[in-house]
Amino acid sequence: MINEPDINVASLVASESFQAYCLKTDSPEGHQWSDWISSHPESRPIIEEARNMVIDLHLHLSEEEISAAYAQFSSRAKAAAAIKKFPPFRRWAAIAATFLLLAAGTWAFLQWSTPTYSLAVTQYGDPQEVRLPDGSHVMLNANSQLKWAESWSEENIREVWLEGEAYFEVTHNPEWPFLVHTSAGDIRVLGTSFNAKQRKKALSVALVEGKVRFEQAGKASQILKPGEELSWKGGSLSIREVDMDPILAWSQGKMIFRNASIASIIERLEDDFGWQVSVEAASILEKKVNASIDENIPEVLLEALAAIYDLRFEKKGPKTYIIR
Amino acid sequence: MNTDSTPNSPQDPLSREAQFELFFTSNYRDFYHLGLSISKQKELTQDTLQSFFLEMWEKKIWTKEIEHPKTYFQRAFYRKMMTALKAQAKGPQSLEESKPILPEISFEEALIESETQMERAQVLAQALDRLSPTQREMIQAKFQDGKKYEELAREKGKSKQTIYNQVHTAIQKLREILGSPP
Repeated sequence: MINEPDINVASLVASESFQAYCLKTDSPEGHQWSDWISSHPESRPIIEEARNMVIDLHLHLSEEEISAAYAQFSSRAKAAAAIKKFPPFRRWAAIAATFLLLAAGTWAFLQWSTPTYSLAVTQYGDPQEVRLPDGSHVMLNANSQLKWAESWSEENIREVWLEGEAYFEVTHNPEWPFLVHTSAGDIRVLGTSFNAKQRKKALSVALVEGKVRFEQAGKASQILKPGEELSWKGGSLSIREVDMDPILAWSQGKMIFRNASIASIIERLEDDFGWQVSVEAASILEKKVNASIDENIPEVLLEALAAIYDLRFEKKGPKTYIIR
Repeated sequence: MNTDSTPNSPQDPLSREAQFELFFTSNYRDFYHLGLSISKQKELTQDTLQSFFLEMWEKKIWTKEIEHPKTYFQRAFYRKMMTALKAQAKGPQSLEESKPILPEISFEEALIESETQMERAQVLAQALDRLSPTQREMIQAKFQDGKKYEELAREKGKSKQTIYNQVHTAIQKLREILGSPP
């Protein structure tokens, strides 16, 4: 791969393996360059010039990048007004109910710009902890939004609006109702702690402990028992017993999949991390896998899956993968 | 550092957000180079800058009366960068290879180095401005966005060789410009 007659500055700078060597991205080609350079001391000046150019070009900061950085800051500042950083891997109390709320896309935060409401927004791959006015804790998963009134009084019920996924620890007060609004329906909290998620056009609610009631306008309400999951999709509702660990894993900074289809893993990568994952053959989607990793880091998951199952993940872009 | 534009006069007609935007955009480049001279890492510097500005914003430090704002902000950012570097050295970070531990650089050393770096960067920026828009785009895609020739070829619907040649020509032109004073 190292072509002797090609050793001039421009060719070096243009060489992808040489770039990898300069920017220390771990690649076998990069390591080959280290070896080549140490055995060709006469090329030192050329190498140095080329290396500086690669690094300078890499570090160059364009005006567009500054604008992009400000845009990123600005959206974070809005979200940070109400939320504080979630400490990673904190073990949340096992006493919890999980709501998997997958519901219609458009979310009406009609009033959020008025000062009476707070809005917490999380980015891909970055869960945050939110504290509500009554002292309740909410862990908001990545790519989610939660809205609530800035000040709460006991004359009114406690209510929040959710889009995405969140895990709640509600300050216990049986006299003061707590409601989670979703576009699919409302969740009335009758116990003390719970966790909620809403993505796309379906809703599911899984309860670990306590008691919650799912309410939809014009329909009979449903009370959920611990260990059960309520699913609402395309207008039909079902309740079944489920394994809670995989559902709660994200809130503990983990990823757990048990007998999960590749399709459901792809969904998780898209929802929580903003990845685009496609498959070479549709049959892969139905393949069932088991994986458990102690970090909520998608790259680690892919590595684990590739090592155990006969799968190949090919990176096509910063967040774009294809599975073969 | 453009501390003159640090918006802290009460009669300033700008909104709080507009003031901060000015503060952010006029100081970002200086802090970026200071961060680079400490860490040598673009991504870590930019991430740390995000949380640094967020802290400034939340604590409203930038509107407070500070005697030497320039040095004050630089020192605060220096400390934050050092903390981020130490955290990175300790933490079991994802799949990236472990970064070599750099010898600890003092605030004064970092400041001097960042000034030297900024001058170099400015020379390069001026040279880049003299490339054609297409050439600039290719250089941006290759070196700042870190795209592969193969990716670029697919995006542009051209052969890998064509893309390589374009980048190669752009580099040659850049070297010519850098070799001759404007």
